[in-house]
Amino acid sequence: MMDGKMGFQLVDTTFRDGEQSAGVVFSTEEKINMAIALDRAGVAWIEAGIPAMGQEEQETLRSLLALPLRATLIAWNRAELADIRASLSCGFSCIHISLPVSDLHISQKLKKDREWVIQQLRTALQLVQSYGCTITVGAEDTSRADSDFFLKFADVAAQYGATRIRFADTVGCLDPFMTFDRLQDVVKRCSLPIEFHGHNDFGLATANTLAAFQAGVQFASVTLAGIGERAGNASLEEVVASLEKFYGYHCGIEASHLGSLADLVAKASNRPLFPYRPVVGSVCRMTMQ
Amino acid sequence: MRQMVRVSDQTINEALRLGTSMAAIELMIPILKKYEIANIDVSLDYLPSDGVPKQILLHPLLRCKMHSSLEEIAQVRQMGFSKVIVSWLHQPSQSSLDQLIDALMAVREFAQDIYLCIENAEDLSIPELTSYWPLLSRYQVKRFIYQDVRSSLEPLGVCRKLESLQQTVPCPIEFHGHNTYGLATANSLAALRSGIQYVATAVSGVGSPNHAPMEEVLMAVKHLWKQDQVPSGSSLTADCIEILSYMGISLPVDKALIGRDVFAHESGIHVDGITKNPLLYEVIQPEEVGQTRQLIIGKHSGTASLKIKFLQWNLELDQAEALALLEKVRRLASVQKRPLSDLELHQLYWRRNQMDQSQLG
Repeated sequence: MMDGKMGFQLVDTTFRDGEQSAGVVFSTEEKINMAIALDRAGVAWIEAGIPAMGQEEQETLRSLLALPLRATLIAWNRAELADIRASLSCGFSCIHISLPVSDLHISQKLKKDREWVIQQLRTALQLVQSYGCTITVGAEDTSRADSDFFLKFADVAAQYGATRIRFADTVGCLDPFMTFDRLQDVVKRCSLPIEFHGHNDFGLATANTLAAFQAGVQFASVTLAGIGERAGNASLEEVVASLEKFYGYHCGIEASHLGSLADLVAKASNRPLFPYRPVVGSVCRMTMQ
Repeated sequence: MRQMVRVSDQTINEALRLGTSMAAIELMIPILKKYEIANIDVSLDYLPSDGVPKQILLHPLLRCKMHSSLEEIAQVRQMGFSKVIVSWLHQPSQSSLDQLIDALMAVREFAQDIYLCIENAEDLSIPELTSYWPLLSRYQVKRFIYQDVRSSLEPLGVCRKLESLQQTVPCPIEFHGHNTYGLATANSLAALRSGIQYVATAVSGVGSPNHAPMEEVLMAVKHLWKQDQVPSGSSLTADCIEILSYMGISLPVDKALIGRDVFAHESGIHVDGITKNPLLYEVIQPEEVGQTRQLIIGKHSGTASLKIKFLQWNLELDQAEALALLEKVRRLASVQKRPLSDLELHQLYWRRNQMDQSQLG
């Protein structure tokens, strides 16, 4: 049951999914400061943003790429050639391609079918592969998708050299028991390492991330203070602290940095930390001492 | 298999700890009662020695939590409580349970309902916990409260332990989790899954140490597990905000379910999806927790968002107009580090149109 101990890393998406939360805008300077702090704390992967958003965003991303970081910066893309070209011209060498995999998203949002999704993925990956980039692939709304289609999607990603596949609980509709069962099943059958991406709509994102860890996934997406779409994502601080507390697992991120990381994002997002917030709220900081 | 969820409220206890006025507490109780509250727990430590109005003290839902000293018991008896929790911290070095037995005997003399709480139950092995079982029968303890005071459990462990204990315990178990690591909602769901019916919660998880947020536990059971006997959430957001306001607490905007912005959508992809079908990016409808959906125009907006927004004002933007406006929107949002108000959006649009006209003229 503790397969996850074989290696488990966090992918911070504060700048992408985090900044996407309604009303939040980080300045370039704030992103630089947070990137340096994340890097110092030991975060190995930083999803830095979406180059397709425009010139200003691209300038910010170029300044992040220019920093002397140990962490790998990842550009997030829809599976569209123009988006990918924007990422390449910024200078990214690690490219994330995202497509939905649930029938709900495919039919109602894209108004396409599964075959189209697979074809779109192939076309996008061909381009990325021709530039020799590191590829990661995201499967939006996996929690409401057919597991077999997710696995087929992952197979195609693997054919083009993708290094991992993101299992996204896009709307936060899983509980830890469902997460454990679903992930335990797909981990065994998937041709790629899995990254679990949880949302906090029912306050379960951290617990679901831990359940995915126990089910043997090798990566998880997190954000500082759990900032993200709607009720947010799994929080980096809670996941790091819980991994150490419950499983004695050190994922490479220093627990002593958690408070100051959360303070940084609280200030940049103009969202003060709730005193009762787990791990980093003032009440919890006192309890944990 | 799954039973009705009943919550033991910890919100009022935090209000007492913070020194909230008795008048405010009287206003909070009827709101909480809408949510199938089984008990309202108050710690003797936080109760002012005088000035608690009789109608609060004698409220049928109130349950007083105290330690096992005879002095405290006399105080609780004098205040007139009929529901009493004897709270006990298990210490491995304890050779005898005499002090606890004396306490239970003394409480039995006046209390109608006795509850035994082991604060650090998570530290105990199953045989250690089982050694308390004879006391539960002997003193007719109504429920055994399994507290995880140091937040030492994760959901899979909670479920395993509680399933096992329920096979031998002579009375129902109640789960009292804490949220230091952000797992209290999940742990409470795990307890319910194991067959337990009573869990401790507080509005938005307040408490010292903090708790499982009531709104999360109830709505997860209602919507993720589809148990429709859970009370309606149609006024949940307003109710929670009102309760917290009496305590001088304001909610974070992204608090799950009841935060101001959890049904606000800004990013282009999400707004486009929400407009086609809200289920694409919302796991429950905002109305189910007494909220409304909001469309925010800001840095992450797309052209679809602008078209939808302007259509609400009966203005139809074509793609070229939307693209031109979007660039200005993104720039302004980045500069001011926040989204645009409707007024600012109008100004951007009309200023541009005026310039076009003056150029033409």
